[in-house]
Amino acid sequence: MKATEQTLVRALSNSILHLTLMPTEACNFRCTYCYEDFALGKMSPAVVRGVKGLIAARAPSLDELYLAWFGGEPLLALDVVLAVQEHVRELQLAHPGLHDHASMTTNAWRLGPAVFERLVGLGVGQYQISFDGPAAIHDTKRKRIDGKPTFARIWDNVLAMRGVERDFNVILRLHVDRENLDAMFSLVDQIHEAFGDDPRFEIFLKPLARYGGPNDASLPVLETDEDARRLARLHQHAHGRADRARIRGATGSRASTPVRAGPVQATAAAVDKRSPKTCYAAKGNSYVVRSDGRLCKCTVVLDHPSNTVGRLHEDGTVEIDPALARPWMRGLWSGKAGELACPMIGLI
Amino acid sequence: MSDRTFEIRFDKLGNIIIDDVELQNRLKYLLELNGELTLRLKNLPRRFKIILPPLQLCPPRPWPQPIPAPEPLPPNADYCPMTMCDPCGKLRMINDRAHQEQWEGIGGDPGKL
Repeated sequence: MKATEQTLVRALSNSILHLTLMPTEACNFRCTYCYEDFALGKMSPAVVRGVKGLIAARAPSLDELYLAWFGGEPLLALDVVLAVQEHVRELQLAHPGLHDHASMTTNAWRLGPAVFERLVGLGVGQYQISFDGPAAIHDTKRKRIDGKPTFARIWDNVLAMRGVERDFNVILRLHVDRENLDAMFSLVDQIHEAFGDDPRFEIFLKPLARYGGPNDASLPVLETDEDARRLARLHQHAHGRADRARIRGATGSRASTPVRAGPVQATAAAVDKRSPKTCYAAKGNSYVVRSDGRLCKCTVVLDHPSNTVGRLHEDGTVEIDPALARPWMRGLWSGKAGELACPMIGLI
Repeated sequence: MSDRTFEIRFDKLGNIIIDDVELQNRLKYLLELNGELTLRLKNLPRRFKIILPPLQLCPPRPWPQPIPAPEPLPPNADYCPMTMCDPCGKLRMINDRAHQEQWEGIGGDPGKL
């Protein structure tokens, strides 16, 4: 089966369900580049019942359930995360064929050892945690809501993860911009020293991007050919330092094309060559569940009218307007890489 | 692949319902090609269901509107549990499952009122 055909089959399969869950849209950080407005708070009990009801109703016919915890900061609503994950565990006992994969994008401020071990124990096995540079720079960009620094506590929490003898994966996402690029070399070294011998930790070099936040105009994003060359040098440095650490990130081009170079990425690279990168928003079996129960496709253009395609009800049923959902899936019909990788572009 | 947009819908649990015959056939072909029942490719689902719509439904309603609750069947429900769509006058299914069960139960033809 060709890669695009496999993508088509998987994206339309009713035995797969992807839910990006926003247990709260509030956040205790105010990163300078953030695009969210934090207008909605915690997921109401009715919406939580809807999430659990939907998963329960689909469980008998599901082979793969993907839950991606997002926000806001999801750990501000830890009770919601735990309630849903515990529910999934119970469903797995009744439906052994159900394989769940849970991930979390978190600022890690509240991801202390006790919380982390509990989440891993409930199946949340993949984490994405961001840094904006070494402490001195990070703390000017990735600030608490009261403006106070965050690096030290996040770093301590991530360090503590090393001691947990469980199977999990942490992607350390480094936002690279024109201001912090040179300093990122030392952060890469710091990460290498701390985690270089632990394959559960990966580095993801992500060029900062303008996603619609109030400070977009002033963000020092990488724009010039010289920026691209500097980024390529950082990438080479990261690979050079990482004998065993796993590196993700951009090449020398300005586009954030993922590169999975190096021996530890050989398997992933082989898979990627077969399958075009397909955003969750382009799939027919993937939704973002906002904290108020709206069903969306994309986590970036959250409040754009084209993004809301339906609603989740308290009883676990959904309403999805096909006329609104179909345009997000157009890459499945066209097979065009751009429409699969980011269906938002050209749609809104 | 094609530049055209295929007709699909979603049931009340978010399952994908494929109306388009071309896409149905394409998916069936792809699955048969790989042996749906004995699929061994790691990254493919073990089961792939294509839900075929039993009847032509109304055009999409104006959005957003709440889906009306299933109307109770009349006591002498020996006919297809469908009702008339007020705006367009075409047949509208109230509840897929109730429809199927009703007609399986009495051996009726779900295509006829």
